[in-house]
Amino acid sequence: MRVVIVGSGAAGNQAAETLRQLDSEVDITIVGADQEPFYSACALPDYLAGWVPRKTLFLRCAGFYRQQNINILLDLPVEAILPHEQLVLAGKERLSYDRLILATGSRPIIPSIPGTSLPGNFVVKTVADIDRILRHNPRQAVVVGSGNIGVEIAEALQIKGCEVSIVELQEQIMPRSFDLYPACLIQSILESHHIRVYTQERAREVFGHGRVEGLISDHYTFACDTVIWAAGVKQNTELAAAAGLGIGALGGIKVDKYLQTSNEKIYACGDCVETFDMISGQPALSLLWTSARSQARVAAYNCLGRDVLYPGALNIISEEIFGTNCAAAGLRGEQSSPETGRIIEREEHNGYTRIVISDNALIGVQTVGTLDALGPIITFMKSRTSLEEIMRILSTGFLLEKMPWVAPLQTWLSGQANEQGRV
Amino acid sequence: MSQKRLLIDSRRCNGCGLCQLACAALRQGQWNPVLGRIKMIMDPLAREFRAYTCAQCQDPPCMLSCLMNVIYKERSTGVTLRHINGCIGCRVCELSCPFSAAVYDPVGDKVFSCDLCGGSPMCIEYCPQGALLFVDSQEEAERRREEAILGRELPDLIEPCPSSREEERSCG
Repeated sequence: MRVVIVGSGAAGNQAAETLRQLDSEVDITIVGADQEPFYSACALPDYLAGWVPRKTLFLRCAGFYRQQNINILLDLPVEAILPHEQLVLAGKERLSYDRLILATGSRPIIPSIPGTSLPGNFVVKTVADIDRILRHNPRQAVVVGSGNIGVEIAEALQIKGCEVSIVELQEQIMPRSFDLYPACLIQSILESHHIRVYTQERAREVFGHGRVEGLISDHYTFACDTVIWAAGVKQNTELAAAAGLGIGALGGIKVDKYLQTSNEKIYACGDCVETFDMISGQPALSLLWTSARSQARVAAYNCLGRDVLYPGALNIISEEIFGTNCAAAGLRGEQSSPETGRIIEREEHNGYTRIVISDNALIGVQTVGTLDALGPIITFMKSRTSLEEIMRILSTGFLLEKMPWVAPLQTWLSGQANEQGRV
Repeated sequence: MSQKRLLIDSRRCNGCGLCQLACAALRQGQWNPVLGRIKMIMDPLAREFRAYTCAQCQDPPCMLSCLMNVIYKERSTGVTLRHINGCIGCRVCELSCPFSAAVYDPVGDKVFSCDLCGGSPMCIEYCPQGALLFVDSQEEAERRREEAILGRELPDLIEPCPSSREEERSCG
């Protein structure tokens, strides 16, 4: 059995490791365009801020692959996949496979506006990108996009002594993870640390002579020497599309619940695939480290013919923003059903908690300033435990006092019971 | 293959917290019970404290959630361990743990969990109640089954749910 893995990021490496754990015989080859060995993309802002030394970013040494008997070919972009011949063409290599795992990942989006090729435009994807930003030594920066990477990079730059503005297209920051109110809380934390946040602004143009001197948005002109593009990523699906594999409506490689693509010998995992949300069941792109790893594990199992269903992607985000812990998991309030959806929130001296309820189950949680007892909430979300069952579990046992949302939920549930009684 | 695990006999445990303090002192070098990898939690209905710690899940959610791939299962013992030098303190593992068993050390900016002290948990020696047991989980299950068949009484390892507690709840 020969398995070829295209992509050497989180998904590719996890797939290789899982394959090796399951089977010591199978021939594993990782082939990737990355020049750097496997690094943690999530720690890049920490490296920029100087909290994490460069060598900590790299997660696997060369000896690891030798010891695990995994062939790894870095800095070797794959040119084509021939599904009929079961061949992968990369440079001079012709790799034949019995099973192929695509983990081609994603690349940052830079909009097609003037001036984005001037020196001083950066993206945040690889260690080399951060090295370039550090060499450039930004003094005034505009971060376009306020997802978790955008916010973390803004914080890191501010800590480096740089003047930072965030430009966000939506009406709130972190629109994929947080509802409006918690996002405003986070925004006020950023603003109290002198990061200016401009929402509902579209970047129109980058200008400068020979280097970036400023950025023009809908209503403002920013003087800056650095523009960081953190406005989302695009799935790398060109190889898959050229090989005739199906592409989903959201732009990721289409896979079934076993993470098999439209070709039965080819599996896909990581940023490049379009899977479905664990809670809503809707098609979703999950661009998180954890999702990539759990998908890679499922793909590796299925490659070896052990049928494992992918449970769906659950987005869990944890951020420390200037010492305040913020976390979000599951769906947002606006994604709850219009009839049964409800938001329960509690603000205390030590933090803000919001839970989102829909169809009598927890579907989302967002916190600012506290991480208390989020583990059990996320477990309840995964298992789709009904609210009554949650209250029954909690009332007989531990944890009741640690959960700030239990009392309001209890009040609401008893109120609802009364209403039903009256009817 | 030795699969020894830390079991907490919750009927004997009176929540004194010595194991927690001993763990913090011996493993973290600080007399700060917050840093203990075995923790106390109040059962508000019984008004008692109980100890709990990392459950050593078979398929730990923390392992896959780790952004730095530092959490792994040791092959021979199946214990969940961490390459703690690589930890950046992002606390995602804390979120994904269903039992809130991971411990964040704000001084070192790292997250720890019980590693059974490499095979001889020190908290056992400090438990005045003898509520902590370090046993092979399979052998223990076997032994308990035999004892149950023979009708001998055994201390419960999991919290029973007595009817009196239900009454207390309905009254209060």
